[in-house]
Amino acid sequence: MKKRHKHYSKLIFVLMLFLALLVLAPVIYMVINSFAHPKEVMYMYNGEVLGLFPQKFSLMAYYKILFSEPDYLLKFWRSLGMCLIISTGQTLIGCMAGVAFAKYRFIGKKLWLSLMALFMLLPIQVTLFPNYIVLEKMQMIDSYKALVIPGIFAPFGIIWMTLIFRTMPTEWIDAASVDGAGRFRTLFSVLIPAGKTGVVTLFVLSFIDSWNMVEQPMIFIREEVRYPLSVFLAGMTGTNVSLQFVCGILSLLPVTLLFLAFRKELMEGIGDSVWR
Amino acid sequence: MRSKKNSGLPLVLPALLGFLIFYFIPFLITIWYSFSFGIGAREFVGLENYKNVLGNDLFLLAVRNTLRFLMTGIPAVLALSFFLALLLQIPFRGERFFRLSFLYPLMLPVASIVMVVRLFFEKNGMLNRIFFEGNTDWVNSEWAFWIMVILFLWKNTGYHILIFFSGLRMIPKEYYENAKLDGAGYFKCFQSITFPLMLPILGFNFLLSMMNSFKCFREAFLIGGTHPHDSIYLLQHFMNNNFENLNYQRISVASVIMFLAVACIGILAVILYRQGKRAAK
Repeated sequence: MKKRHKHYSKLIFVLMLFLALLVLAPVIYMVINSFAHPKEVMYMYNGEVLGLFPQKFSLMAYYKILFSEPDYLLKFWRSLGMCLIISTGQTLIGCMAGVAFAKYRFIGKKLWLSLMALFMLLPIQVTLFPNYIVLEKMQMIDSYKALVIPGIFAPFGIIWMTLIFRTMPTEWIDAASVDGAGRFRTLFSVLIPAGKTGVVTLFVLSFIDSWNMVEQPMIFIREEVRYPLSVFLAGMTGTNVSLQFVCGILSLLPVTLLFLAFRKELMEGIGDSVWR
Repeated sequence: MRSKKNSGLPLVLPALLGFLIFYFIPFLITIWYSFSFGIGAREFVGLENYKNVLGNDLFLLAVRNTLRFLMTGIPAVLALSFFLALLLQIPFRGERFFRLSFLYPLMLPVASIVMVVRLFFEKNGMLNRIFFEGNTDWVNSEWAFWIMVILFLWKNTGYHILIFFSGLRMIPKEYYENAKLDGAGYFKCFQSITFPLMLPILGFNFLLSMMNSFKCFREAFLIGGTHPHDSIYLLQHFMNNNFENLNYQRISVASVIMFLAVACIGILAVILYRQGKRAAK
């Protein structure tokens, strides 16, 4: 019986290894090809050389992106700044509103909560046009504000934090208030540290979501020059293929670092989300 | 202080204002737009706009394709991730690493992956050049739909695995031991212990995958542009094309219809989820 078990686990290991390779293949492909000389990549793609991977190692494409064509890098920093603002804002709003929903009282609490939950479930396509109406009235169309502000107020963060704060004992708040801490003080020095995993998960999820935004820029931004990295990349076809690979790597970099830094929190945070 | 009336108001006020201004009130305006017509002064036209949209071939095509995509993608992702989560229960080395690498695609921006996909599947792409020596433009054929389904699986399976995984961990080991004493085999255990106990989690995953499947318009959009192959013309394309023509009636009708559809499914799923949870207790 024991032996059979061992046999199985070897089989499963091989299967999993195969699947993991398959899953990571596009990334591996991109990484390897980004270290090729632009000329070699060009030959590979116009059919002069047959092959998936380059023969020689070169940093030429990186050099081009980093030093000789600053447009790409500028786009990268801008998109990064925008996404950091969105995810920080959403986490902050989410924490504040979340604790209010979970632990305090105000008019129409239940109604607001169910409305927000409903809006959270809605696909972006439904809220795209409503967003557009307001942004047009506020004359924010065609600027980064159009992408940032609705993103900050997306209901997802609020619901997420409400569910997390609900699991915390109410006595903590009462104790903190006996000690003379106000509502904001209690939130920032007691509740947020206690719910760190959930807060970090929310921050990462909302960062990757905004780093990946496609629908909003295509509608709210009219000039293609101003597209953030997330849309710009896919439209790069026809340009230099090897620069495409390096830009691809640039776009993977922030999310990969976040992923590696917070992998524990993420796995826990996502796994736990069932039990709330 | 906590139990005072409106004690939470200062905390929740920014969120409420943002929600009202950017989401709720404009959504009400959208509903009004869907029942009215005209530039400047709008006039109530009843269901006229709805008739127009529901009779529109492109809209019907978009709905058909979207439904086809949901009905292929969601069951596939749920079955696959459930199966893999079950396999990951058997202890072997590197199980954590695999869970991590399956989750990784969720982090990646679609655009960068679509870029690779295009380089691979294009008319002059690697697939044709190296493996098939053919001339099929995979992205612009029936295959586009399946490329999308695969991308959907690629991106979301790991996420659902994590949720199933932590669900499976919560089932008490004694249940299985007792069942084994009674002579139940693996499949019997699965049928009468694992599956029923996992039903609420299946419901939860269903809701999540529905939310995620709507995000898949991105892939379609980036792969096929504004006018893709017929098999991946989705609701997002319909909306974008109408944004281009500034046909606000149509967009608002499409928004409202989608809202109703999703709200119905969502409410149904929540009811089922609650019932399942009660049954599990």
